Amino acid sequence: MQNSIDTARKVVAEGMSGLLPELLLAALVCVLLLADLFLRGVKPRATAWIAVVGFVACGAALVQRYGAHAEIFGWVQSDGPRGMLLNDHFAWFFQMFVLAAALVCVPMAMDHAAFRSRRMGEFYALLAAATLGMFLMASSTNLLMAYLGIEFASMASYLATAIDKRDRAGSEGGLKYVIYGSVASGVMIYGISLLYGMTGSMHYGDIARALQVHAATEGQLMIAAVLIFAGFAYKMAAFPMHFWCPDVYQGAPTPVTAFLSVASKAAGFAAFVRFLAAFTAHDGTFFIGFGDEKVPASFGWPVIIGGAAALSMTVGNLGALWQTNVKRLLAYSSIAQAGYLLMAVAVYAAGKGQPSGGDLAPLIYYFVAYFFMNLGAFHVITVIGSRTGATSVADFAGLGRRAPWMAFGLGLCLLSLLGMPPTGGFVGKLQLLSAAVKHDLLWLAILAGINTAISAFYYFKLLKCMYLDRSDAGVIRSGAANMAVLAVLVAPVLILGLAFSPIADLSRGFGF
Amino acid sequence: MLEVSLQHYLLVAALLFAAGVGVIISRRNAIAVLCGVELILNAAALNFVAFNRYAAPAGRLDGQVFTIFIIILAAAEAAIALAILLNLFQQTNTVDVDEADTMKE
Repeated sequence: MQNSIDTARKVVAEGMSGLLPELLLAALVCVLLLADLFLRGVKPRATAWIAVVGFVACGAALVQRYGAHAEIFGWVQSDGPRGMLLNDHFAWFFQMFVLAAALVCVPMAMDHAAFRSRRMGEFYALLAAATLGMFLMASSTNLLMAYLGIEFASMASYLATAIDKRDRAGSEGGLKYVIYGSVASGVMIYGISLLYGMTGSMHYGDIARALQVHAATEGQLMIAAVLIFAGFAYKMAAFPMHFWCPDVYQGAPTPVTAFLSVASKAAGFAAFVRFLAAFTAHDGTFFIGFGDEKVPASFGWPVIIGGAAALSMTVGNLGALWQTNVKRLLAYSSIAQAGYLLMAVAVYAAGKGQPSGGDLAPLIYYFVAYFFMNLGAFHVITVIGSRTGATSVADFAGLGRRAPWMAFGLGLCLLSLLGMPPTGGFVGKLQLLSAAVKHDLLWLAILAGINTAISAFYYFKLLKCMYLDRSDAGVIRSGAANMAVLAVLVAPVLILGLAFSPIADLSRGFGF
Repeated sequence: MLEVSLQHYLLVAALLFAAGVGVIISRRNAIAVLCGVELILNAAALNFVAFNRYAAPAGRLDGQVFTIFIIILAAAEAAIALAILLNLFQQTNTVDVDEADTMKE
């Protein structure tokens, strides 16, 4: 008894020492909530600065953790560790990604019109809590931990979406988000329970080993896999769980939309790729059948994921064609982007067990580009929206004259989302397409090409509105701080398109 | 005397899951949809406990632990969903999910 308590104490102590960034985020949540209570007389911006300091401190702790490879909160067996969280390069990349997105959302929230007149500690606490949940998603190596991370991030996001109580659209968006979200997580957890029944464990390593030696029929596994995929697809905003996306993105305050479209999606992909890696470990084959009749089989992941990717891009791009609300348009665009990103995951699943190896570099590179182009676009929409109340595409008429730099930034981000040179989106998409062709997913690459052509219609619709349509409205003053944020977000879009080789080299280091 | 085996538990859980999905698809009242979600969560919880009892390695309690987490998360999720729903109800006087659809054009 004493012995096992000592072991438990040792596990917790070791885990905590590798968990400094997460602990800092948890402390930040508490500090922000208390600051909201006790700093009543202080300006609303005070809590924003506390959030910035907290995120930067967390970032510093995360930089310290770079290069670590430790599986924590578990024990070590002869054939490998059994932990809850794995801190490795892959987790590090996505954690840094999520943290940077949260940090960028703070100045956006400071600028957001509806947020200026109220105490915002609660909002930043929710932002930090969602970030913490996404940290856990990115490093989870156990289905329990992945599920808890998803729920943690989701619950904070639901509340952040509906944070403006007087706003009907925000409440509607929040309701849709929470209802569909709880259905998706319920379906996912039922799938997890089936997979647990087949493998006897929820640790990814154990699942991989169990699939290798014993048995479930392919049909049983397929049911569990599809149900679990539904839960991950909800976080990725990919087909078949994309339908919440337009209402939530439109209804949520724009800084929240920006955070959800970038950070939440990335964390969903990170958690899913980790799960997928376990499922396809050992050459991507497993054994089906009962008793002595065991036949090696390869699971249909490339087909499932490729199909979801194809449908995501098509549904997203076709849906976006008729949209007149800018945030709704970008919501459909983000569904389509999830499709392109899923294409990289399908390539990864198809490449497993082949000599060329499962390569995650195109996914990582596209995510880096996506970070800047999507946050850049939402930054401009926040700034313009909070000064003019602009929500529809027509409201952006004449922006090229009214706010030339903002229009230039948004234009560049849209071209990048479309995948035009010389932007990061072009290089990213090129890598995705060439990887898909290399791994026998030619049909998917062709479909992505057709989809890119379709998406040109609505991206150019917004561009045309900004530069060709006339408007008599006055010049918009954006402020130096917003210009600085714009420069930080848009310059990398160009750099990623022109000087891409160092970043492409770096992106190879963040796989498994 | 009928021996209660793993299959019986799984059958009950599958029926619960199907009932939950049926409720979610057929009811437009947001609170009824949340009840449907509870049914699905309880189906999963029943599966976990049954699998832990019959299929997991001896001495491991993963499934039981997961069930406790499901119960906690269900409560948290219901609290958040009802808070958001209450806020919307104060603005619109309805809990019908089809009514909360003013954004589409």
